[in-house]
Amino acid sequence: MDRFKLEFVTPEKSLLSSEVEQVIIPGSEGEFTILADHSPMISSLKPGLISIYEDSSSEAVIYFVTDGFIDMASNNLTILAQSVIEKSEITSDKLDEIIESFQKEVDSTENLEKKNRLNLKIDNVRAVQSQI
Amino acid sequence: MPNLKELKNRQVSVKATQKITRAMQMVAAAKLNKAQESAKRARPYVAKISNVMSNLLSSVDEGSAPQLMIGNGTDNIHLLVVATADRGLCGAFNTNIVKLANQEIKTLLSNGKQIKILCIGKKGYDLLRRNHSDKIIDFISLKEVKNVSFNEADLIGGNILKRFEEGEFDVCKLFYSNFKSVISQIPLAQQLIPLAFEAEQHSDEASLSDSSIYDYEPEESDVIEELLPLNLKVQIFQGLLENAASEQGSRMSAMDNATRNAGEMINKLTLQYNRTRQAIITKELIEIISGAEAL
Repeated sequence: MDRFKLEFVTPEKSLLSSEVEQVIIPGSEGEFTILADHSPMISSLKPGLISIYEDSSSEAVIYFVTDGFIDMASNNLTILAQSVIEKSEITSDKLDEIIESFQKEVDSTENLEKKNRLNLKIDNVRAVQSQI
Repeated sequence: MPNLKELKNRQVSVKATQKITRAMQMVAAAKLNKAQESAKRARPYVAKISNVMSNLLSSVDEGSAPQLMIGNGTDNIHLLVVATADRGLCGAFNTNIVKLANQEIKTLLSNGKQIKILCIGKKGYDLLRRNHSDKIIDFISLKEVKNVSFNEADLIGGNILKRFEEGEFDVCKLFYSNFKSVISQIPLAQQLIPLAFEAEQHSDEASLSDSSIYDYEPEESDVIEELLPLNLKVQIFQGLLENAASEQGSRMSAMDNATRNAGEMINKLTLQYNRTRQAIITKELIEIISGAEAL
């Protein structure tokens, strides 16, 4: 299968830059898969797991992200994420911490729309928690 | 005649000072390396964000654009975010930033605008407090933070955004120092709110047509609304990183100068000490000889 270029960057470092075949993205409107020659798109992310397949035989490289964006254009996929946890380091306790920090934000804001958005994020983290 | 003991004491104290300045210079050099490294690591992220932003903003409809981008229509209250260091002994680094901020304050005040100041870093706070203590609304110290991470920028950005939402100010500017080289750091003012969009000029026709075929998930306006605060935080983050590198660079050259000056002083003092010692010996000899002659 065709491959495309993936760049995975965080504010602290560039995590990954390689040719990949398939990436599964937790988009804020639902999960989707990106393959080569995907149409140009920008999407925001919800808390969830990003699975990266270098080729069809290899095992997926998995990261947990809390928020961020992806930008797909002319076979260049860029993932911008603020906080990333590698698969080996994803633990239930760590996710609990993240939930707690979201919960704090929920409690501190009056804005109902914001509250809903944050609550949704908490649900998403819980979903990941139940997966692992 | 100067006292020999006194001269010796001065020599010793200058030598001790030189040791300190030399150690500080070396520490600053190591920290500068680190700061430059993290600035380098952040660069791809910052570049990508501004890339996505320029793609997005070139296609945004002016009428429905969020306030963060086009402002809230007025510019009566200005918030100046002055980012400086928490420590001194770094040359003119802090003063240069504060000087630039003071100039801005002066012009804004003469135009009849209202001013609020948010200080990041203790040194700038101390300097600004003298003349503008009534205008300072908040002070954030990064003293406990060894290496600037996105968390700090996130915190500061959140603070600023919250104030903007509550209508505390109309325009926000960030003052920091751009790291050009070890001997040259340039204080800069960068407008954060409303977004000063430079990329618009060099986004040519090609990228314009490119952006029009983008799919957005969720809606384009929602994406922009999420991206704008993030972009603000990223800009602050970059400012903080530049500042960290500038601070260390400035300290390094300041301490290099201090070490050199101390060296010169030690040479001078040694010369004076030796001369005095010689003069004392000569004087004693003359006394002995003239004493012997008198017998």
